[in-house]
Amino acid sequence: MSALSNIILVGIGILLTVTSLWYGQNHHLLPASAANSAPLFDSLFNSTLTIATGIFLIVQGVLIYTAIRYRKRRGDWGDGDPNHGNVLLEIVWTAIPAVIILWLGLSSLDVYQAINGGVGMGGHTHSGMAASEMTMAMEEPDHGAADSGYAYTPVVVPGKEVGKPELVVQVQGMQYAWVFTYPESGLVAGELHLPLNKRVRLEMTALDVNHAFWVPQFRLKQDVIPGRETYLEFVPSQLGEYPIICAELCGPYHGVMAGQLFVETPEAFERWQQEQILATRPDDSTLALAPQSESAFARAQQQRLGIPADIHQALQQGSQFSG
Amino acid sequence: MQGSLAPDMLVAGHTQAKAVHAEHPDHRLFGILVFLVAEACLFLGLFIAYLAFSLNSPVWPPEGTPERELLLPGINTLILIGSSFVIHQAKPAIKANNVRGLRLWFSLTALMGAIFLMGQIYEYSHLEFGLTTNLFASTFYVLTGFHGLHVAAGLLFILAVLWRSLKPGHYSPEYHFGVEAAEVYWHFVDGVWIVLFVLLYLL
Amino acid sequence: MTQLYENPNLASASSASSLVKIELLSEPWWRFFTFSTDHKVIGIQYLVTTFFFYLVGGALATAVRAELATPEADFLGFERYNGAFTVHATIMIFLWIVPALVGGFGNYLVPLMIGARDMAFPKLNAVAFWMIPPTGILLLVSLLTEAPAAGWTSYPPLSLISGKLGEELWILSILLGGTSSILAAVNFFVTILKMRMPGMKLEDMPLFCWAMLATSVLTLIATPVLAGALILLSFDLLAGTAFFNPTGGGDPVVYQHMFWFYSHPAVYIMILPVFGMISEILPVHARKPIFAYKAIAYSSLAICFLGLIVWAHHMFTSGTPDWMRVFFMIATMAIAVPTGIKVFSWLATLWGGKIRFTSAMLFGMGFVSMFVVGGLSGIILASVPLDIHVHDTYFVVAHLHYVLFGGSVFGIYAGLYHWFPKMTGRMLNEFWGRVHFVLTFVGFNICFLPMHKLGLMGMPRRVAQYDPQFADLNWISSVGAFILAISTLPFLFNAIYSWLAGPKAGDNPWEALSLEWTTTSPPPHQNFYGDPILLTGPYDYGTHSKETLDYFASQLKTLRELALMDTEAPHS
Ligand code: HEA
Ligand code: HEA
Ligand code: CUA
Ligand SMILES: [Cu+2]
Repeated sequence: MSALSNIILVGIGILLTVTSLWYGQNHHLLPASAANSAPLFDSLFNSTLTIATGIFLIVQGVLIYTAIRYRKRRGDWGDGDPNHGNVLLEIVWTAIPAVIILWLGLSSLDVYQAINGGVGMGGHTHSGMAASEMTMAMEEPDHGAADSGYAYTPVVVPGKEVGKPELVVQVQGMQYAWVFTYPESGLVAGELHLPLNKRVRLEMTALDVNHAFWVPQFRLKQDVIPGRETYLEFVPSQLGEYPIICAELCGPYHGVMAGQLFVETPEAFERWQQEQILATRPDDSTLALAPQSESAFARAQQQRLGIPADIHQALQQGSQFSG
Repeated sequence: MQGSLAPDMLVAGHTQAKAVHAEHPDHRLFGILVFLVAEACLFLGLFIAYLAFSLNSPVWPPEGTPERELLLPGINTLILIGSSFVIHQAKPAIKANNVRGLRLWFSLTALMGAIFLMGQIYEYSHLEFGLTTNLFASTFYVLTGFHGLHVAAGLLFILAVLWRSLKPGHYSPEYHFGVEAAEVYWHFVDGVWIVLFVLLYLL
Repeated sequence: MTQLYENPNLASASSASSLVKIELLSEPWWRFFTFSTDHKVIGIQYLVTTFFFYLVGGALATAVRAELATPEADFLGFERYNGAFTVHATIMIFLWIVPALVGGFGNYLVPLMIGARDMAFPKLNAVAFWMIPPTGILLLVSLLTEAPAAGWTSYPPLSLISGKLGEELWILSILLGGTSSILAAVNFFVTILKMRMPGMKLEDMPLFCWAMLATSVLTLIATPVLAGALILLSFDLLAGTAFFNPTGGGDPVVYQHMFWFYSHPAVYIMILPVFGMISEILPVHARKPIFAYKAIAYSSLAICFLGLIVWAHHMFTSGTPDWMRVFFMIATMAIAVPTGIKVFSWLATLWGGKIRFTSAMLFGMGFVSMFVVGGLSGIILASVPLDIHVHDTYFVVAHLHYVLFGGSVFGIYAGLYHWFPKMTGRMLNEFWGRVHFVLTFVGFNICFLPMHKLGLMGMPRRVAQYDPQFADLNWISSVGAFILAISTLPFLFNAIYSWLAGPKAGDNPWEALSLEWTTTSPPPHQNFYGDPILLTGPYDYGTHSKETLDYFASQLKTLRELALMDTEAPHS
């Protein structure tokens, strides 16, 4: 190999690296981030994308190069070079992906644990297979959901101890609506209001079929399943209004099953809660008869979405299981 | 790399110019075994589903499931296991060109299989729970019913072999694929039942 | 197009076949509508039937994209939309990719490649094929009733309440198709292990046969579990049991495990045979031996094994326990290693070759290029924290079409262009082949590339109506889909016209070395005139391929003449 071709090779390598790095940072593929763990997601995504871009460029580059350099020339009907193996090369292209995969697996584990811990901020929880310590979405049977003895093992992040969540909200998914219950105040609402920078725990279940709770700006998603409870924990870190999207197919109107999430200052959050409680005080049933108000919410939601009432009824009937 | 020049093959190519249909060995038994691997995976899937259901629920079988009688299913199990030993006698018989023996053992197996099925039906009709009583009941009926279908299929298989054995010379010491296949299938059905019995009655 | 006829090397081969005027033992058209037990007839039956279903599935996809061209649900409407994508996916997977690859190419090629006269169980083979039309009819009928609308995954409890009749037809259809594919797998497993010609060791087999071996293992182990899940689902649907119904104490997540225990391996059932075909096609048209034969062969087995233990990566947000998520994440990522071995070996196969840009080769290289994109997005999905964000979004839709269309469909097209001359004895038109390739490649990327961004930005899948902020990208994607729909037309007309009146192909138009090219095009019943001869390995290009090819051509000429004399003898 001549010096020139070495230089070209090094040049290509540098170009490749720079392009991948640049694209990994400037892809504009993600919405704004609004939860504490979202930046962790973003940095993992960026580095994975950088690697993927590199591999993409190598493969496409080689394809294009061979297509030009090794195309059949006019009149040449001969065969190519009979070389059919090179052990060293094969070892290299087995080992390098293996190393990449190892790195990606370990950093994914790291980020996953940190997201579970919820605080994180680039936090580096130690990744010594502490899988059992992870708490997010640990399933528990439905019974006993009322007591607060959920399996919560604090994850220690350098310099900060994570305690119990500061706010618990119960989330119910039902065909085409979300209902949020604040157990402390007994408030039932059709939109989710959360105070800024407070650790929140959502206890979620579904009334009819599977749904999934997804807030793209939080980079968090969890299926909501009838007959069992699933959890999500996070700390909202940006004020604003965000969509709650149902991500699991739940019927014809799955696509319009949307909710709104407001991240507010603790004061604004308090104010909102008071207003709501006042507004619902007259019929004292909010607390005791939550299910009733749920269907009221569902109906209101249905109207908002313009879903024909009879269709909804049919669906409700359909969901009265015979078993 | 692979396949260097093979001169003997060249010669063969020259000499056997005509497209003769080469007699190829009988792979049917191997095929049956491979198929039974798939069947086993089907039952394995159902067993694991059963285990998942039982492990997920706090009490298993769920409260209120009536007690199950062990005596009749126990006898039934012994009969089915016994029939595996019975059918195993048929192959040596036909290898010794003893078609009578073959018929005897197969008839006996068929009889035992039929008793098993009848016992199963009897048990169904006397159980105090129905298909939809609870999750245990549903799995119970689906698993035993599905197995029962396989026993019935095996029974038909055995009867078919019996029928064919009436034709003189159909099975010979060299050619008796049907006998072997029926036996292998029967052992399989038997083995599945043992797992089922342990899962549904003993655990 | 005609460049191949200018090839001076081919003079001997093509004159050999033109010597024989009578089309010896070729199939009259009506044979394709009978219960034929000839694996070649069955293979073609599969390919034609499944291509028809591809058009139907594609028409449904086109309707889906028409709906999504604007944010409002104004074309199909909410209910029909769900039925449309459910049946679209089910047709594409169970009536197009799986049966076309395994039933079509597998049947046609495996016996020829291993020098066998037919499959091990020809009658069983025909039975398996004839289960396919009823499978399709059931599914199409379900579309006419209250269509199954719970997605191709058909998760309960939703699948239990959305249209009983349609759902049950869907279940029956898949049970039938599944049975067909299990029977086919038994046949392939036995054929490959037991029916190889004398002297052919496993490591002398073309790589396609290795891939088919791995595929049949996957089918044998995984498909029955899906059948189990669907039987239980049927009971829930019809008999009122509650296996998957929480109201009766059942557990919907158990269904998800059983479903994915099949359906993840199923994606390798849909790609391993394509890997095999690509490993056949690239060496022929690059005129080079396949690089790293053993590594490619054994990586198929590695993928087969790993493919069986990664299913829960579809369930990272299903409330799956953490240890499971971590285990399945690592196992999933590990698949990149054996797959990478294949990809890099293909690149090395091209390197230093004399690449002939036939349509088969264009689709072959297009496959490598597009599949890698899908594989890389798969790696992103495999990472638990990343998947939590993109699960059930258009990012997944993008991934699955890059691997299934950019992978499997590109591979099938490559295979069709490559083996069409063998199957029909006629050449496809190369010019229209190129048009087809360009339209497909461009339309495909316009259609599916934007979906990555849509998913990451927040568009969930399976929705008829979406946030207007996504309107532009969706519109672009729909335009791509229409280009894709149009792109099938050149192929369709090319195939039909060429089959009827295309130029005669000769026995070995690509100068290939594997066994199927050492017999006539199309091959006679029993495949070979004499006993097949293993002169070289299937990939020994660049060493003594010239002499070998000439030798084969002259052999074939004499053998054919002898055979012809034989058939004519009784008349004279
Ligand atoms: C042919 C079909 C096919 C194939 C081959 C694959 C291949 C892969 N798939 Fe995909 N997948 C589907 C079809 C397929 N998939 C379908 C249909 C779905 C959606 C189902 C549904 O929900 O409807 C799905 C969904 C899906 C999910 C679930 C997403 C979700 O719902 O949230 C995941 C998650 O892990 C995943 C991962 C992978 C991985 C890691 C691979 C790997 O096998 C890819 C390996 C290949 C490469 C990595 C590229 C080549 C390698 C190199 C060049 C070496 C160097 C590379 C590295 C070091 C990274 N796939
Ligand atoms: C092999 C598999 C395969 C293939 C080839 C395709 C091909 C295509 N798919 Fe499909 N798709 C899936 C498998 C596949 N898909 C799966 C598994 C899902 C998930 C479903 C689920 O969520 O449950 C899915 C979902 C899916 C969606 C998401 C739906 C949603 O989540 O809401 C979309 C949306 O754009 C889409 C589009 C397309 C398009 C435009 C094509 C195009 O490539 C099609 C090109 C068109 C043609 C080839 C037809 C052209 C012919 C004509 C127009 C003439 C017709 C004439 C007659 C019928 C006589 N597909
Ligand atoms: Cu609720 Cu989708
Ligand atoms: Cu998968």
